[in-house]
Amino acid sequence: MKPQFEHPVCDECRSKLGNVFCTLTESQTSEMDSEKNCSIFKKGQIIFNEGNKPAGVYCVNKGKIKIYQTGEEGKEQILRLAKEGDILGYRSLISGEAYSGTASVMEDATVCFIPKRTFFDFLHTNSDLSSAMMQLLSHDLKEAEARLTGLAQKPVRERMAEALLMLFEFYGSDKDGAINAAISREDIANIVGTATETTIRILSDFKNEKLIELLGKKIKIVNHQGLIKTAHIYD
Amino acid sequence: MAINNGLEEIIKNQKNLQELIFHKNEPLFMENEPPAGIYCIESGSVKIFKEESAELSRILHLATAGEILGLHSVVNSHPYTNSAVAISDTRACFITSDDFMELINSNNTYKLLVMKSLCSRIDSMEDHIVRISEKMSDERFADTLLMLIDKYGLNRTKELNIKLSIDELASYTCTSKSYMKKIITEFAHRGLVTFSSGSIRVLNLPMLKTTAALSPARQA
Repeated sequence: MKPQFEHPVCDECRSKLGNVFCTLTESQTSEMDSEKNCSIFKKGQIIFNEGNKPAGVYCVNKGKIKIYQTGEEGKEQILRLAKEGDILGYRSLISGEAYSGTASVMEDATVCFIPKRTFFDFLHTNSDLSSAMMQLLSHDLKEAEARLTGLAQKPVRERMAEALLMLFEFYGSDKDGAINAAISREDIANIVGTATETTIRILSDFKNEKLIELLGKKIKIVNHQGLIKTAHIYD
Repeated sequence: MAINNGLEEIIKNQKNLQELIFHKNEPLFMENEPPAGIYCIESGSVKIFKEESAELSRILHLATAGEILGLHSVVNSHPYTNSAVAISDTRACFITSDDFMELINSNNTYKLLVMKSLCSRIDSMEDHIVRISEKMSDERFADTLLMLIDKYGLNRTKELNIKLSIDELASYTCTSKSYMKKIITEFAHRGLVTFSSGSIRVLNLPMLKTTAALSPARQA
């Protein structure tokens, strides 16, 4: 018999993960439960494509997702990463424009889809949700500004150190103390905005300088202070 | 940059506004200051930048009439994440953070307008991020010029209606001042633009557009 896929229940999710939808009332939460559709996405699968029109928002229950833009030459530039508890695609939905990036799965994910109509209903009637969304977007803008400043000025070595610290902060560590995401060298290159070969070379430099250890695909930060110093982050 | 969708009119209809004039090089607000309020630009232009070090600042955006500044800092009540300084004489109206939050909390539709404004700002930041990582400096400078033409227009003698220093051009294009000078000389040599004491005259617009587009041979 085919194993049954258990749909995530919003109420369980809100106590475990917590995001903007925690502002929903009890009846709205149960409405969302009945309106949403959840699916399992395998590594490499696309959740939505750059250029398509959004039909709703996605709420990540499990897994890791990257959002990237494809350049004119076909090179990926990763703009954001998402993990459980994050929502995706809200910006295009709110601005009424096509997706500006593609979301694809880095580690198997369970993602719930909330239709546009339901989302806007909530947004119009629940002022806590609209405030939370406004704050989320304000935070996103602050991050994008910081990203732009970092990318433009810092040499690639410093950006790499910064990216590793960001990944560590974002995903936390597993039982071996490594960054809790099997992220490919190519993906790291696309976060940093450099070539894969350069990424491999700098990671091996970092390893020789005893800043990190490479455990197969995974990366363990062994000298946190050293890496912070390399990234030139002072605050 | 999309012009704000009605949010500006809503703010301007408030009674408790201050009308402010900023002369060239005067700051509207500085990075890390507590968010006093929101500015709507009525005329003039303002550069939005972040300090990266004592010598270097990065221009994130150039704002003109109709744009709203300080929005995300006020909404999240964190210090201004960037600085805003007039690059030409600028008229703006100002609403305090408290008055603004009271205004938008009174109506969910207003919040949606704020969200839309924020979305378009994030989109333009991300476009900028992608451009930096995939284009060469000269292609980015051509991009910068096209943006300036689009935003400020050219006068009858094909001069840009805004004056920017080499520092400012370098800062927005994300390159060094010395390299910026080299690119300007090269562009002048190729008959694309001329640059004299802050004025930029566009000589060959189609060629400028070609330069801004990625050339496959350079990608490697």
